Amino acid sequence: MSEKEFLSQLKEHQNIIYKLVRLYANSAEDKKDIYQEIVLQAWKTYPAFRGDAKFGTWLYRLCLNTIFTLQRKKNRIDYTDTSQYEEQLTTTSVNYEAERLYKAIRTLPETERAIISLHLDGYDNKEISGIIGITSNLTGVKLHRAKQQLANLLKDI
Amino acid sequence: MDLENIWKSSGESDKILHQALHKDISTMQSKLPLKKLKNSLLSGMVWAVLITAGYMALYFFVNIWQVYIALTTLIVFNIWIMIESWKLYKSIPETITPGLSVKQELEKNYAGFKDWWRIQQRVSLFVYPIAVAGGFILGGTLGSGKSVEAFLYKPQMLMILAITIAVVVPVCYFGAKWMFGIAYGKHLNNIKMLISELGNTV
Repeated sequence: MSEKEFLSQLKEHQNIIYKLVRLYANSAEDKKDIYQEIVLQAWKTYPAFRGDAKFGTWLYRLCLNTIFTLQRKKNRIDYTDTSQYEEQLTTTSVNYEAERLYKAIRTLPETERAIISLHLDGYDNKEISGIIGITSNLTGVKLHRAKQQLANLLKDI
Repeated sequence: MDLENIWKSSGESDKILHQALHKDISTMQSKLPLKKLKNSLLSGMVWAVLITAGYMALYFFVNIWQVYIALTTLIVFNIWIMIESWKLYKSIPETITPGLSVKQELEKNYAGFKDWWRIQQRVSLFVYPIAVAGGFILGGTLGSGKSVEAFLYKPQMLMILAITIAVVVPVCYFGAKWMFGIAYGKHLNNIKMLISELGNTV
């Protein structure tokens, strides 16, 4: 597969990259580094992709593995209290609801952000536990906790 | 509107992603920490080869049997460290492994750094003391113009040698540990914390 063909396939699934990086990057510079690393890693590892899984699932794993192992320039962002979280919202946003959702997910621990994003993208607990590498029970517990926290933050959605 | 729909409809793109998807991939350089570690292992091995060649060259200029023993021991240890470094270099993949789970990928990264640090500890335990002793004897005999026996005849000299080893070796060891901490400490702590978030302690 040529570089051009590969990039066009990646572009079809760019929403996965965009959503995940938005949950973890702390600055524009951070975003640029993570995007580039994901594109590079996808290009390098694509020849080993055998098509057992869907391309989207394969890309999801690759994105998460890259994001989690890449050295960050800045500290992780964790909004520990909701007032801090509310301050970060910009009410002029075009997609206010989506922005609120992202800000809320970013209050979660990093691993729970991955679990909730997989869940919102329609993966079941078994698939999530396979991607993250934990038991289905633990996935269920973490998912329940994450949902509760999100529900508290997003009561009116 | 439910959360799933908000989430699914939020997946647009942005200018930075657009640029990344239109960049020439061959010009991109990986910034993965394991890749950096591999580069550092490689440069370490190149230095080890040069230093070992330097030790070998000293054979022709030195005529002190105690220094010969130190040099031989150093060369043997250096070769051993180089073999260990090479094995580690080969075992560290250059890329992310999408087939691994997030937890396995994190554990792979953690193990890579731990193995690298184990090699550095071996260097400080086996190589530094002999290098210090060999350097002390060589420098002392050349500087004083005396034979090794005459140079080390006074008990004070043996005492100074012991003190030098006792000071230099820990300084080098903790210096290396400090530099390792600056380069990768925060990253390793992050990995450790993420692994423990996933239900295991390392």
